Amino acid sequence: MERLSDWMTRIFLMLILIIVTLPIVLGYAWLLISTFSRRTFGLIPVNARGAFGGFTLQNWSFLKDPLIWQVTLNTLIFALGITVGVIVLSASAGYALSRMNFPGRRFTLTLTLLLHAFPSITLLLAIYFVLRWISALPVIGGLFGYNTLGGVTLVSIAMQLPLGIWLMKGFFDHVPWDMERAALIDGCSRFQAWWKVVMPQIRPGVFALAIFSFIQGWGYYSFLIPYSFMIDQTRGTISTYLNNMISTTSPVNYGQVAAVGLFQLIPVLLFFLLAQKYLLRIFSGGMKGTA
Amino acid sequence: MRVRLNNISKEFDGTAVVKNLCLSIEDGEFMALLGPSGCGKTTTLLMIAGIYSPSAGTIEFDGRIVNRLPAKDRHVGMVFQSYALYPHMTVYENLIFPLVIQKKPKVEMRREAMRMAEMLGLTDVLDRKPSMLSGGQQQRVALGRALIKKPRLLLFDEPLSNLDARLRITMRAEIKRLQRELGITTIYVTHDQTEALTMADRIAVMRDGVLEAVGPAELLHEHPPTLFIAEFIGHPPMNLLDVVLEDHEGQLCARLGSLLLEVPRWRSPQRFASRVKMGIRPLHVTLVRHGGYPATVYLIEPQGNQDVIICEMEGTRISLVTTPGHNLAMGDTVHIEFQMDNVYFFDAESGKSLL
Repeated sequence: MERLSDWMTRIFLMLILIIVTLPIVLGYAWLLISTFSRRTFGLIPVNARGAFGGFTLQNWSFLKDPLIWQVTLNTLIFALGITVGVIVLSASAGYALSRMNFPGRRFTLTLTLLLHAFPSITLLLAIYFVLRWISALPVIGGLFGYNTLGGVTLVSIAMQLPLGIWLMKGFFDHVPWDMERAALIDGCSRFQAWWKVVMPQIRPGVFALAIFSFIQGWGYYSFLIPYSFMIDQTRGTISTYLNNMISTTSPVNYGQVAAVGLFQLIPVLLFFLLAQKYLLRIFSGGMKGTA
Repeated sequence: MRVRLNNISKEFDGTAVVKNLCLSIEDGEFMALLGPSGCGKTTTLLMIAGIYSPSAGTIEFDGRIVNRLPAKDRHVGMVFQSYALYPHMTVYENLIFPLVIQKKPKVEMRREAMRMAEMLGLTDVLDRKPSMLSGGQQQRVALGRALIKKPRLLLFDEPLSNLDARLRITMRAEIKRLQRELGITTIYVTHDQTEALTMADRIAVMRDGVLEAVGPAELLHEHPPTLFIAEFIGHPPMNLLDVVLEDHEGQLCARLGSLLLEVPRWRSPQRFASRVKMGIRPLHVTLVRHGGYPATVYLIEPQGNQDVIICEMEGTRISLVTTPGHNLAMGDTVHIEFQMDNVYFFDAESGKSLL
């Protein structure tokens, strides 16, 4: 009897989970099916006469366009740039905020939290002027100014920093003081103690933040900034490439849009599968880094 | 190495944690810093290590002021209560870490690590991570890591607090033997008087950031200069009784409630105090068959080789030590005698000894 009620509960739970996840699964299913079809009727691929069939590889023809590869490379540079920038800056700032006592520490912490809650869209105009100003500088202007990948990366890093700094501070807070003191007494400079003893303790945390930042840079979330500050198609990311396909005046080929979307999604999906264990750490807010 | 603390103080956000501390530690000496938690002893140790810098005063190593010398250049080794081993490194890597930082040759690292491992019995666990070791083994690794760089000063911050009682006794003996063999000047912070009494050449007792007294264990035990030390050092703790001193035909007596206790001339207070506390160790209160003063047994604590009996008398509790086998039960009436040759008198207000 008990076994039966156990089974009932299990089936009941399964049903709830299936119902909740169904819309998402159906969405992905449609995405996959429509990339290989001329048209779809719901989830069913149909040909011109409305009957089942009409399979095609034509939606994937964009892969022959050299622009997509240029854009993919841009996206990779963009995402990696964000990742490296966020990690380096958050790790240093987070360490300072966790370990050092300096004037304005509390203020910085509060301000960072406030900035995290700030919608980036309200900053677009201001950032535009800042980027134009950077553009006017020699050398730096060409790398980090308006309409450059560097500039867009820089702005995106800044948007990610509040979250990164708070996470890193949380990770550092969990490293015992005594361990760092021991390192200093064992002959380390402050920097060596940080690099050789403290950082290895929070490696899982760093890893999690890195993955998180990369996905942010790769995915749709970072669309707004490249879209706003990049005019050249060749300098854009996959997100802006996708956007151009929709907003042109000619009729939209949704099969093709879906294919590009899927193309963009593949690395992220792989990433998630490999790294979900670490990503969960971000949300559990730091841990004792012995793993 | 000789260490001198000249009038050092430490404040954190306006709160004084250590106040005007003066202490000198001789070359090769084993000094214990003893005090209850929060008395500033660990802060003092961290100032000596170079982690904190004193708010005022100077620290001298062999006559040289080191206030501004960073921790890494002080040639000190330190063992922490939490051991503070590096969890991402193996035992071997932990041991050689100070040498890696000094960029010593690989051969030397290997040789020194083996010497340490042999001395501390760690040869079988060199490839393990600290999390796979027992508390005692972690303690040894921490000790080895502190010793491997041949420090001129060894600092211990309650190193045995996290060990079980049996292991604590073994490690106590081991640390003392090592210190004697190597002859390294040692400062040992503890709140456990037994550790301080058994290991140290001299004990510095701290209370609320102030140094109460410094001296060899016997001296502090036999001639406690303050009420605090009388209470803190010695096991079981000294009985401290509120008494009134009275003169009866030339004989000084201590009145405890309705009892009159004759005070021998050589144990008489040298100075006047309006309120007096009389101290007597449980060892010097004895059970007698005839005479003495009646008291009621409140609690019996058998300790194997001796029993501690707490009894009530004249509204106060008095503990005494006796041989086991008296067959007493709670509530029984016993007769006790005070060995007045061993009493102490303190000024109840200032806490200073009156002897």
